[in-house]
Amino acid sequence: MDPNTHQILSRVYAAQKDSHAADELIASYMPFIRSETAKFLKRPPDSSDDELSIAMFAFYEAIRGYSRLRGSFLNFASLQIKSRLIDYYRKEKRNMGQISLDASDDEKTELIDTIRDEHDEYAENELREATKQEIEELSAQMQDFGVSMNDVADNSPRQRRTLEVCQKAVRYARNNPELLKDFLRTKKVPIAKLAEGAEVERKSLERHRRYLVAVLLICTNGYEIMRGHIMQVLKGGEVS
Amino acid sequence: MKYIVMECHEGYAVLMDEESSFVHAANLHYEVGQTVTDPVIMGSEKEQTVNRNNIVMKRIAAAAACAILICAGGVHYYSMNYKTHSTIMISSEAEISMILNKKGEVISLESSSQKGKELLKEYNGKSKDSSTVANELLELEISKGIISNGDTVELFISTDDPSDYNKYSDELKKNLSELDIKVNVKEKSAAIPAIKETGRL
Repeated sequence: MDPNTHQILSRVYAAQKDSHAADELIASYMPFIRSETAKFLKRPPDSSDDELSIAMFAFYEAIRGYSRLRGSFLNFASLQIKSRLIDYYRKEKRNMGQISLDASDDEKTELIDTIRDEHDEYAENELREATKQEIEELSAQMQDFGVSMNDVADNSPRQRRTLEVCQKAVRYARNNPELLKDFLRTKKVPIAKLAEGAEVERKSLERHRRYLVAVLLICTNGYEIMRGHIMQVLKGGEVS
Repeated sequence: MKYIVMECHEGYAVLMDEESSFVHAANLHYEVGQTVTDPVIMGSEKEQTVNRNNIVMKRIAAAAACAILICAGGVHYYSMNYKTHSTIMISSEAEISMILNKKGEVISLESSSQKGKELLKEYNGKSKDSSTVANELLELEISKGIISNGDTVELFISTDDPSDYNKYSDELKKNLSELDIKVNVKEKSAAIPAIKETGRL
């Protein structure tokens, strides 16, 4: 194996475990990602192009999904980018019958400008800023538990049945504030109590401990916006 | 489904949906705290493809299972109704053979002699049981003068299943007892006696 290949592989394997290393790898391979996007678009991509974002995401997926059995990493990443862009185009094509709000009859007036704006842009920005602050607080609190957002996304249940098990445990915790207090004090997820109280399998909760940290923290005071976002889950209703 | 953007990276973002699931998605110029709909989620399109493939595979498997069932049913039906399972030869001048299926019904009647062929132009015993056909054929042969009352007729049964031999033998002896002829039932392996010039055994 030549030194360059070895270096790429060691960086890929490091990036699989560390999100900062993944960010750095993506940044250093931007010329490659741009070139692959350009091949697809048949023009150099702008930084505002969604296709470039999709290609970067595909590169990230390639990092996470790569193993030596898949051959050369860059060939694998190239295929991943191409396949993601094709999927994206197919999805866009399905939506082609819909009129874009950015479409315009003349150069000055876009369709979106002709619709009466019922949203309060100021209020929306306020909400976004408040949500951002909540998320920053949550991230900081999660650090005390040794958990990052990436960990939570990796540890989030993929199967519907497992998700429902975790949701049941979260609802039980929410109805038992003492349990949440203990959780905050000890910085440990009370798996045994949750499993017993919610009547769910302990193993399922243990497998998703880091995910439960994030959702249980959201259930504690101070995260009204995020709690509102997942209110149906907390109440035990169906999300449409 | 609405998603809150929880974290933004160079190549991806972490989103939380309304069901409290956290997912990796493409960062389409998102900002933390933004609420988005219809994101490009990691693995989701692949899962859909896998699901589509699974559906296609399930349909193919179901179609294959149906085809196998139909084929198996067809083979069973064919072997029960149309496949030659046994033969009974009426040893007279007409020399008619009854080809039987597994159920003991006559599939076809054959004869190598001219008289037999002429007789079979007037008679069709398809789907009838062997003893009925033997009875009707012998009656017809008596009426045509091929055999006479009091003659001895030998019936040769050829079958792989000894229990079938016994069954056919008993049925023939029972059903032909009303005829005024003597009936001997034998296995085909036994030597078939030569037909006398008179056409009677």
